[in-house]
Amino acid sequence: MSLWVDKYRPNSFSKIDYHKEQGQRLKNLVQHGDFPHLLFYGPSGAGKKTRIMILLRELYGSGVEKLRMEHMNFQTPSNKKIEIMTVASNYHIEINASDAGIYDRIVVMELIKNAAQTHQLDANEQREFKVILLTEVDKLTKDAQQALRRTMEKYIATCRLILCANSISQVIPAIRSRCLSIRVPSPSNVEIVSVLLNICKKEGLTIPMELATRIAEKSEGNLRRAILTCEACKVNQYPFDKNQKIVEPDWQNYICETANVILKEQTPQNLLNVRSRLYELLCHGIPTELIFKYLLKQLLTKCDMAVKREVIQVASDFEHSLHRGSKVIFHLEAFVAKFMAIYLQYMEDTVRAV
Amino acid sequence: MDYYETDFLTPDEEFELRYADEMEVLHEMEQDEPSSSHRSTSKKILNFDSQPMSNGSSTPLSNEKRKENKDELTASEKLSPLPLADVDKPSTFRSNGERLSFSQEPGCSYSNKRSVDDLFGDIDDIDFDIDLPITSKRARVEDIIVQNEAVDKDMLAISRILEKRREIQTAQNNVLDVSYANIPELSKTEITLTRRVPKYAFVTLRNGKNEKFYAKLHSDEALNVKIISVSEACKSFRLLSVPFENILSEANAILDQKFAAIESGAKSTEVSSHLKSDVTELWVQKYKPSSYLDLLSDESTNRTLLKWMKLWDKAVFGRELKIVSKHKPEREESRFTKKNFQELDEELDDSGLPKFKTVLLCGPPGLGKTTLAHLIAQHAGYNPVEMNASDDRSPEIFKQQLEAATQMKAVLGKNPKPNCLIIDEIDGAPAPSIEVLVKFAKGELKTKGKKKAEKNIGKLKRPIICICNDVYVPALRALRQIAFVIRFPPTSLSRLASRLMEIARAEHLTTDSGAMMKLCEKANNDIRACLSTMYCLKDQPLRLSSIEKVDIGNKDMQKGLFAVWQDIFQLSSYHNTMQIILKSVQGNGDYDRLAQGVYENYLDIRISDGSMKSISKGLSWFCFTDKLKTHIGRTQIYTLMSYLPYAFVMWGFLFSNYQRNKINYPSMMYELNARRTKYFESVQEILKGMDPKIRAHCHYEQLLLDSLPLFMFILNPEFKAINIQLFTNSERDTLRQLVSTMIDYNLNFVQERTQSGNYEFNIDPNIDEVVEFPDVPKTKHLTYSLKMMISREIEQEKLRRLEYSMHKFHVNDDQPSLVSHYDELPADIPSNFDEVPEVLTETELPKSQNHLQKLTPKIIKKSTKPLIITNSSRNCCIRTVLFRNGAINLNVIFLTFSTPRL
Repeated sequence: MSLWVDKYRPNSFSKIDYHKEQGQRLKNLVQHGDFPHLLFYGPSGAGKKTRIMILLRELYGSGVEKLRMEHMNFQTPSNKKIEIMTVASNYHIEINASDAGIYDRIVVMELIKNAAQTHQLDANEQREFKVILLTEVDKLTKDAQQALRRTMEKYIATCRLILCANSISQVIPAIRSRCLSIRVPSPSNVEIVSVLLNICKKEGLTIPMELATRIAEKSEGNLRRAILTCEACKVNQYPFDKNQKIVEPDWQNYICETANVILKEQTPQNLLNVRSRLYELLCHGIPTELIFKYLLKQLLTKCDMAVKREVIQVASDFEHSLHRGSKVIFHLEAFVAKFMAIYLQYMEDTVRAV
Repeated sequence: MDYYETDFLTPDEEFELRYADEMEVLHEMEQDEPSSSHRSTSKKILNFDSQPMSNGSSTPLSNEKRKENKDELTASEKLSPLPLADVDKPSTFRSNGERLSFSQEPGCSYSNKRSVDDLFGDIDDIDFDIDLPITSKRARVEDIIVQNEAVDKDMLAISRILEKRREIQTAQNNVLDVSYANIPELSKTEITLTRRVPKYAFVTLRNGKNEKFYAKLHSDEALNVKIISVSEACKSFRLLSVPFENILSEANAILDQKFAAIESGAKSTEVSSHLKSDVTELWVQKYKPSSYLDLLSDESTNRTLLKWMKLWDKAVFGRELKIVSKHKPEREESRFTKKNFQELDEELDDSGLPKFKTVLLCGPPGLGKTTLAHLIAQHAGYNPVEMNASDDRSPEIFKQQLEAATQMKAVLGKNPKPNCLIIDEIDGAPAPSIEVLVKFAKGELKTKGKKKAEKNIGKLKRPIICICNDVYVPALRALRQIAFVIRFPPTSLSRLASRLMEIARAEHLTTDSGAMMKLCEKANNDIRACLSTMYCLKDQPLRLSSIEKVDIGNKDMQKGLFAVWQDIFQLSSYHNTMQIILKSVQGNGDYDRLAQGVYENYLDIRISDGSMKSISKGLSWFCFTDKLKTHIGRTQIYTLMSYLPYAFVMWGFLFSNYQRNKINYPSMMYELNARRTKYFESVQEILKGMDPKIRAHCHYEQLLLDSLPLFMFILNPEFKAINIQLFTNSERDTLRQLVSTMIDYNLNFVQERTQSGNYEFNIDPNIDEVVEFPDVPKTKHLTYSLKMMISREIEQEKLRRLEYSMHKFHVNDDQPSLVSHYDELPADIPSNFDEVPEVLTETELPKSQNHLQKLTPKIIKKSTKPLIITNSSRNCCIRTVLFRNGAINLNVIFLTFSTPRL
């Protein structure tokens, strides 16, 4: 536990740095020893998981921190064996069902039935229910979500579900209505800065306010990344300089560079070049929505207001079609080609106007 | 004979032949004459075995024949007293003789005579003096005929016959006139037609002038006898326009010519001979090649197979192989850039058998594989035995058949040939059966004897030819490795077309070579399909247009992927691009791979698109296909599949040009997936080994996107490359933090050997390659020595943590500690890092100088208070300790165990 991210993770509601009011409400929720199914949602790096763990600690005491990793095996009807990694304590089990891909339905069904059909051994000393923590619910297939909705109600006596998702738009309404939804918004830049200052103080370092602000801005509301970036900056150069370079993940640089390649030249030859870069990004497992996001962001900096609207529309169209298809590279390249065509047209028009 | 003559010679017994009967006989004679002469000249191969009556002839005739043959022996030089015998000779001779003996043996007449003898038995009892009466008898027959035909019309016919006969006789330069002279004499002796009313039975006849004639009426049986005699006389009276010697020499000449023709490779004669075959026969069967030279398939393929068959000669026939000079094949090889089969290894193994025991012929249907196999087997002197899909091919039966075909041979028949097994359609056979075959070919097959004694069947001693359409059927995998695989190249268009022309000529179809070419093209060079189509269209003249128009015989062609891509990218000169692309795409059917191929190749092909508009349009079609396909996959509405090929038409319009483009096989998707899986595995490896407390807050995507890229910086702090002992406090602090982080995230440095032979330390799992991108400036890495040092520290720290947990376990257990020198370890692990070096120095540095030190056995402190293992659970604990601590504590624990016994 030597990374700052892990080291300075709060472990009680009193220690959390932001959303204190929400923390207090959560504390009140579990005070009486019972709670409904919960659905935590919010952007990555906002502190959903931290809050869930604090909640469990409030509920079961420090025993919940004695974690172990377990491999669970499931068998599909077609006799395919799936192995899923779970993190569990005596009181809860955490699983990411979307690891099983299209077989997530089986995982959800089996797991919940298994967990729910066994009662706690000593119900007097502990709570009479276990907690099942399902992460990345928004990535579950519709089938799995449908399977979840009935079991959630059926086994409410013996288990509580805590669902965790980045966005609830992908969660079916039936599940949303069965849960108490708790949104964990990402911290504001000010909050991030204060967290960074706090950590540096504990580490015995002095960080210039400007640097902290810049890191907070770069991290886009992702506290985890902010802290990691801060640490990376520290390793890179200490004592801090307020104008020092802030490290960024390679993939992000690469996407921006790709956008620059697109802007430089709009020829079929260059499109081939862009394609190989897109392939590179895809095989590193960078999610397509991020590729679209950063590509568009970078491309728009060089676009006139009139073109911006069109480009954004095109990007959203292709991102939509990407989700309806299966070969993402087609849609990415189609977007790039379309942008090139629009950009060329725009350049031509401006030249003609002059 | 007596009966015959008396019956014939007494004129007053019976009335003469009736008018109609007489005419019949005459007709017979007339017909017989030209047809026989026609046959002997026009036919190349004539089968006389089935000649009617030759065996069933009555005694007088057979005698006559025998005599005639006998005569021929002697009277070839001196003139025979029998003029007709000469004429008769060729037909009787041929009826018994074989073609080969005819041409080869000089003493043919002798051999023929013998065969005649065989036929008719002993001839010693035959009196040769009856020559004259017989001839006169025959003359008399004619005489009767002459006399009977009083009617003008009939007389005319008779006179014509006589004239003809005379002609023949003069031409023959014979002494027939001797017997001919008898005719007028005989005619006086018998009157069968009178103007007056006769005494004997008669019929009244009238001629054109209303004059009455009275014809003698014979009794029925006498008439029959006479008819038979006349007809038989006519039989033996087969008239030839040319003397036998001439025919013989002519036939010999034709035969010579034919052999010469075969040697020179001309094949056209064969087709004409087929003309005579049954009309109802299918053309495919009818025009099947009947000799090696008729084969249409690729010449080199044929030769390779034949060569392989000949390799068996030594083992099967005991003939020595002719070793072909190596020079020639090499020259041939250079001509063919692309080879369809591997080089045939002509070496024989120790037992004189060819290296490849079996041959696997493979190729699409309709190329003539089966025909080739049969012909080659026959050509090489084998008796082809075929097994095909219609036979039961379960392993047991298959084995039986194999053994039967390869180890036995026909005992009946004149010239038993060794068998050659042809296994047709082997790709449909069950895998166990093919295993049997493979084992058999390898000589490993064993049969279980009744008394459990296994008897080896022995080596395969006969060639086996296997035929299949698809060589890549999984069941054939084993066979493919041991067999000599010959891929059948498609028949050449021109050869096939010219053969079709020959057939068309033979079937009297009007056509031209262009139409035939089109037909071949349409059927994709499938001979069978071509012939079927031709058969179907045989009633109309075959022209190019009619073949194009007709909608039968269109073989559903499956083009290869590259051919389809070429169709898309190369703008053809035909007007209907859309139809061409649609057809070839639909014919192939693998839309997925085709689309991928178009996608990966279009940018290389289409270079000039200034506005990027058409590329953008083409790409939106890619998106459309992708969406459509995904939709079909999700909803399973397969009717939508029919819209997929239209995208290819669009791409064809957008991306094609007139050049021939180089097309690469699409492999990017595969590479992408392979790399993605690799990186994914690396990250998964980290997740598996992580500290659970951290794992609870960490997920794949966060790790990949946030943590790992920044690790690149965090894990590469600046260190001075000096000994760890010399580190300052802050440096030690950094090191401690680094080591701890790496353990938390299951990372380590491992030594790896690079391709250049150097060693380097790489991070494991290899997150460097997961997060690094090309073209992005790389962060500097630690030096080799530092990595090595960190790696060592990580190992030590891991051990320390383990031992600490062990220690805690003992403390909790409240047991006398077995590992005493770890007692000074502080309770809190993270903080103990700095003290470890001291611990090490304490334990490692001896009190005295090294050379002065004495090894003393370790004192067992707890000897007074021995550890008594009372229950199994404690035993279990100690064992666990032993197991985990490894070898270091082994001694101690053994001693501890031994104390209770003391």
